[in-house]
Amino acid sequence: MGSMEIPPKGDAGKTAEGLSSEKREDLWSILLAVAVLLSSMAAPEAVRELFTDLLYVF
Amino acid sequence: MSWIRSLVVPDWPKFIPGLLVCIAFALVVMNVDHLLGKYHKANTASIKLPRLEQQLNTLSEGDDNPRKVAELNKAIAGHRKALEAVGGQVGQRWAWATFLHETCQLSYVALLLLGGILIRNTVGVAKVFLPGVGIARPFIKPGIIILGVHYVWNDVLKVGGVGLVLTAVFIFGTAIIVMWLCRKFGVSDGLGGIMGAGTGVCGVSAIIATSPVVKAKPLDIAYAIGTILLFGTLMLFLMPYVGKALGVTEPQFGAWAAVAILNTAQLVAAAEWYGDEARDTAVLINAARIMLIPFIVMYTVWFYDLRAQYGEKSSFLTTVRDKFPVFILGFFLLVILNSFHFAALGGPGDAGTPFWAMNAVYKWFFAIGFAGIGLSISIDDMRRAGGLAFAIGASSALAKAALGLIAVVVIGTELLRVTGGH
Repeated sequence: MGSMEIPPKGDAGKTAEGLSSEKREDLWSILLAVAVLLSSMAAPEAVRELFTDLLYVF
Repeated sequence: MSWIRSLVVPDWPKFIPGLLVCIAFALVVMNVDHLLGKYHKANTASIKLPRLEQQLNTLSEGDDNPRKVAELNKAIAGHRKALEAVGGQVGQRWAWATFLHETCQLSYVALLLLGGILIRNTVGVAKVFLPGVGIARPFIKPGIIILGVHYVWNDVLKVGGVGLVLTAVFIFGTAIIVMWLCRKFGVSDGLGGIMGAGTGVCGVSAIIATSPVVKAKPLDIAYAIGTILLFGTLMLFLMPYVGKALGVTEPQFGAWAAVAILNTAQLVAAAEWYGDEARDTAVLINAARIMLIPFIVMYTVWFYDLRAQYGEKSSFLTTVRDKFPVFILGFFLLVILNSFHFAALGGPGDAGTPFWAMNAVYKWFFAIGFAGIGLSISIDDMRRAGGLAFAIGASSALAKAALGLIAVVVIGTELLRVTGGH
């Protein structure tokens, strides 16, 4: 982000199928959020424990 | 099927090493933050417990206030639990933890940003990690979507409505002034256009979105991004201290950050640093703000009179379709679901429900994104930003920050407070 490298965003970053990297980021964000929602619906206690307890290793 | 194929990031293996570094950095810092918090709580408990127990004894003898006795018992139980968590006893002190956690405000946000900057500018980040470090920043987006479980529709109408008016006035005000000043002082249309959009609306995203419209050169884009990030970095570190010094409340700070800081990741970082209420307000107003990106692109087209070249293929509708930040729909979907209080989904405070579980996840996405920001901030790159365009962009952004502060103080805390339905 702080780098001066220009990310391939906007029209310039479009793939052959026409999806810009900005849109791709957005769609991945939605997919990740859906994955979290589905996991939380399937096993809320396990998800909660993972992120409030198990990941804190020290 | 083609759009599914296009979801795959070209050359994706090159992003993996840097992304893993950011995840590892976030994991370590979240653990350090957790540890500091744990010892700070234990230190507070060690100091407070004798006094609370004495109060309880006095009250129990009198037996005239059962509610107060119950409250004291609850507080004592909480403090004992905090001491047990570190295996400590009353009388032990962990003043270092209180100093770092409370006095220095070293939350996970500060640790990731300051630590990342320190690493990047001392030991450095190997070239193999740079692409992945750059791609970590957008991990803030799924965090923002998940944060939707904190809001109800009334919050969106109240805070989002105020925020929309506030940001619309400031966005277009700043963009108009910067573009006009750049033209007046002979800055090229390419640089002036993206500087105006960048300082007015959403920083890097707006620069990228408007760059093809004004036919900005790669150097112009790099220059404008450098200016926006330099200013955003300065504000990110300064604003929480200015806010505390001026006694700005958390909801007011959240609105101020959403108006003054030009980059989503940086404003979320500043607001999260300031407090939970500040973050909730900032994220909601930012959601309103980034929806204005297509409009700023249209304004840029109009200002630089490029409709003849650009307008053929870019009507208002296609601009909205191309530039609309789709991920924000996920955020609003969760706000709507939370507003209906579906029993199957629960709420962030209802133990054992899906939304309660999700509420524990967003900070981890933020942490990976903040790790990406910290490790990306190169002081050498920042030095390259300078000159007239920087002076115009920075002074306009500074004026926007000052006026934004006045505006949020005038609006007051209540209109900017997110209730979450409580």
